[in-house]
Amino acid sequence: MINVEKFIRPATVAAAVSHLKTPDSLVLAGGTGVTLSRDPNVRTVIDLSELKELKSIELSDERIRLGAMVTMTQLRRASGLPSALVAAARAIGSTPLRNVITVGGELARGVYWNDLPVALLAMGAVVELTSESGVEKIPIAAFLAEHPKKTLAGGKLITAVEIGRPLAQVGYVKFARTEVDYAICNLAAGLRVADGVIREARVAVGAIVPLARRVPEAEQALVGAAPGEEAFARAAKAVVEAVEPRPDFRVGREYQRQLLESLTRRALETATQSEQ
Amino acid sequence: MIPIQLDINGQTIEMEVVPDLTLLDLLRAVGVASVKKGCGEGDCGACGVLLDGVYVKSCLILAAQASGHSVETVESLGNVEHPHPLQTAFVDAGAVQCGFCIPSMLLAAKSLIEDHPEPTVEQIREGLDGNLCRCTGYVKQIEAVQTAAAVMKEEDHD
Repeated sequence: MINVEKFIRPATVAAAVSHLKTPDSLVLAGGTGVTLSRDPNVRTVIDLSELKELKSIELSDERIRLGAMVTMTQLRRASGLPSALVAAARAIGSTPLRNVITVGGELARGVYWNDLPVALLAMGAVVELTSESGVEKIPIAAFLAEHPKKTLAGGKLITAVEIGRPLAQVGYVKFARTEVDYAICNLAAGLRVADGVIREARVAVGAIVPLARRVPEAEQALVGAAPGEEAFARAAKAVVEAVEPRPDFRVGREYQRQLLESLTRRALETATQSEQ
Repeated sequence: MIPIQLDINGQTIEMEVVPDLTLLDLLRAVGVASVKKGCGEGDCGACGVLLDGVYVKSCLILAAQASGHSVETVESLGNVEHPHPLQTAFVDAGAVQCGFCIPSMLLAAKSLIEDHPEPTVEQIREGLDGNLCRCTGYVKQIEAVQTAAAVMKEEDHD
């Protein structure tokens, strides 16, 4: 922020979007990831704090809609949200950080230890982007692949995340050295079970990989099977085989493999116990 | 320079600041000495303040970002003659040793009691999870918050 000349606090999303083409501008949400930035190129800060239209959680028969400026504390306290979403929000940082960290910020920042994207991947969430040419909705997996680590404004603003109903049963687990530390590994699993058979599965992993992603090999190992120890063990093995852990000075490779295995089983068990 | 205007403990200040000035450095520059710079990067919590009543870490808020808002620090909580129930409870419980982390911890405690007037130990632990204390081990602080919450509830009824 050393060379910032202008702070803009737009009152509407339309106004915010119109500022995005300002050269060398940076979008500011909760700010925990960017306020200490010493990037000399940032000249204009677009502060989203006044955008009330992005601060609400809307529950309807079709979907759950989270405005991009909804904080982790709001998610933590809201009723009617899937338990895995609340667990992921709770897993992030500490209370004063959760009070400011936003849904949009968790997605825009794209750091490998982010918690929320992992849970959202297992929920099949959709990210809403608004630009001057209109609104587009893209699956979160595509969003993460297309927009890794992008803090400078690029003409599009994350305005919401939507989770369609019917909801899958989702389990979220974080593993870290302490409760407030960054995750060493986080893992989420989403299941749709009908007549005792898994019809659809989503397994997502983060922190132990450079960017949160789904593990299709594990999902294939689950679909068609009965939910339970046997299928979960197969899925866990598939995760270990498919996921190449990033080097981590805190833990060795063998430990990471064992983590992947137990966290996959734990996330799947949590999912089967969760309310939809 | 960026022009800002904010309310600190009931007093409105107007000034021009450099763009990378944090709310923490601004508060210390204008003499609010209770707010401490520990790590300066959002870990330790010694810089915690209430921004429009919400407990935040002032080292991760830019002064320009806080413009138009109100900041509350422990200076507005109470003083030696008229201590806040939280301050009394922290002293009585022996929850204060070196004191460096305590001003912001009191604000975290105030905020958590507002959310949970009869907090459980679990709720207190969560509410204080952004504040590192390297002296006490937290046990006495949890006790102090429980005591203060009970006193505050009683005072509310009076």
